[in-house]
Amino acid sequence: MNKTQMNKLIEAVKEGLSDFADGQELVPAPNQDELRFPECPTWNTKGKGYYNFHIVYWTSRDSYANHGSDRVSMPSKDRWATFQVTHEMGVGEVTKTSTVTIKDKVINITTTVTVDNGTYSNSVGMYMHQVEMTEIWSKTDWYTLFVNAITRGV
Amino acid sequence: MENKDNETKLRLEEDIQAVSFLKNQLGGYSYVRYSRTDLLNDDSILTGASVLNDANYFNNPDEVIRYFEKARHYSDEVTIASFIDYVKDLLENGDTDGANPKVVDSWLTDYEIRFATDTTMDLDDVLEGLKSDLTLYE
Repeated sequence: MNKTQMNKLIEAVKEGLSDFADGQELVPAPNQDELRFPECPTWNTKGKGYYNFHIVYWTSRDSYANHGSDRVSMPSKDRWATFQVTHEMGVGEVTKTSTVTIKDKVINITTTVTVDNGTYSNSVGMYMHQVEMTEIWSKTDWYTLFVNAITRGV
Repeated sequence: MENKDNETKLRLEEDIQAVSFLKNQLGGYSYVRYSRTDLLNDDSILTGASVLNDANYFNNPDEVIRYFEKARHYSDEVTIASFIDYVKDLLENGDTDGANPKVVDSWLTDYEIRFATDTTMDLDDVLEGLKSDLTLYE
């Protein structure tokens, strides 16, 4: 997934948030240099809402000849992203983590749902989606499909 | 025609065998039937989510979230999923009380699919219907 494609996905989430979130905004992590992987662009939602996003564009990976924490930059075709959506529930935190890759204009989304109540974290399912980045009526037709897939999973 | 009748009769007999086995297991099943009140407790809510997930109840992440929002509304579903889980364990351990595990497993798979929409299915009614159908072939 190249940078232009990633920017489109971010634009899709921003548009989605402007539709269904009350005053929430998607913003780049303010302390990017201090993050564990500063080379991987990160976004978070500002303000609490029903959908709380944490998005990472993975531009590097662990070195295959792994010596400690060596990281190597990946070519753009190998880059991928995680779109994490967290809900605060009575029982704990329920997180939907979508791993997103793009190949031949098809967005492949694998979502795992986990619940974490502080004592333990448990997986409660894995779901897969595909969204085609094609224009039917307007260039943003697929935006809604993509945002639905990573938020509601439908 | 006779062959087809024989096949139908055999299938009915297998279904009767499977449902009788499930009915007997349900009768002696000592698990806690989940009530709406049980599903106000965090541990039960989490266990319920696991058994529903194991029974492939959730079709998408949104359904998982809806469950966590109102788990108490899912007491029938969690009860049935727990029972299916229990019977699958029996089948895996070969503890089938003379019933053919394949026949029971096949019916259970069907039941698992149906329970998503029909959680009130009564095994007595199902058994009665099957026995009544079987008389047509005897």
